[in-house]
Amino acid sequence: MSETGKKRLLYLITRPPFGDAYGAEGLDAVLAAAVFDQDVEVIFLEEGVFQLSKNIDPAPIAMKNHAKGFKALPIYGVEKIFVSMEALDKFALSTDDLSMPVEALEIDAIKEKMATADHIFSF
Amino acid sequence: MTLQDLPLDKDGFLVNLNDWSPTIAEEIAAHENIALTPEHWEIIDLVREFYDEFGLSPVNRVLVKTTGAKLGQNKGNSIYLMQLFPGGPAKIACKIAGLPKPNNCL
Amino acid sequence: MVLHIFNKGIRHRELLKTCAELIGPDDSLLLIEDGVIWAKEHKENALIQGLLDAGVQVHALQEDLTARGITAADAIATADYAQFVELTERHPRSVSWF
Repeated sequence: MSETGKKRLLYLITRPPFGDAYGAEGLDAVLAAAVFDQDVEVIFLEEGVFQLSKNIDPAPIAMKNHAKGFKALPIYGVEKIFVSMEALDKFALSTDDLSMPVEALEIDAIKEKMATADHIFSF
Repeated sequence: MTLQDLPLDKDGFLVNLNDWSPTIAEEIAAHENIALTPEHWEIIDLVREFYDEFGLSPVNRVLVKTTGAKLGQNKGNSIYLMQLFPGGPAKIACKIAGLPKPNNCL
Repeated sequence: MVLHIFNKGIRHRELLKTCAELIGPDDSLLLIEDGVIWAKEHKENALIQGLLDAGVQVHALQEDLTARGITAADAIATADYAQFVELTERHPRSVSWF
């Protein structure tokens, strides 16, 4: 627990959009935690970075674009949004290729966040 | 098309977003005992823009914040929004705007 | 001539490896859904590069690329739904690696 008494909740988004519902469910979970005024952090790992692709447009596959909801996180009070530097490197992406401003973290920094969170949820 | 021809969920929200029109909005508002004024419409337009941008129906706190940012602080507060949409500004505004019920709206 | 259809992302590398080992030189690979991530040029697509080097035709479904905001590498042919149908017609057999 932090000194404010809020729980530190860490959400890991590890899957790409549209192939399954994990990304949309992860977003819902993060928004719910934000509404309950918890200390929320989100890290996009592995193929989860594709949730933040700039030009997502699921109209051709007739699916709802849940991914643009991640861009609303700062308005919901979730300011701590990160991506794995390793994942960006793997997929030849940079933070400029993403749909919103995020901070890239090295593996050690991600481990540190996991070691200090009260709860960790993976989607 | 009038409201009674359209599918609604158990809370009276439109099931199909595409069924919405300003006329339908007037009808939904009438069910909530609200006569829509230009002040209501600027909030309805705002929640529809929010949904278009983020795919989300805003919750109260977010509606207050967004209204403040777009329409000024004299409108971006709970009292003002509560007067326009008694009983839950985000929920009622989204319902009239033809959007899904905001998540986590207790 | 077999059309191999693959719809899984990077976490299913072992399955793509199995698929790649069984692709003959006259076969084609079509990447769909999360599988289109393999079509982007990046450090993870060595398996795809191996297939291209062996002369295998690799396609990616345009609708799924557009949905995900992903651009396919130059060596990969994009196919829309209509061309997907043509591909299945041109190959006597197809297998979906689900």
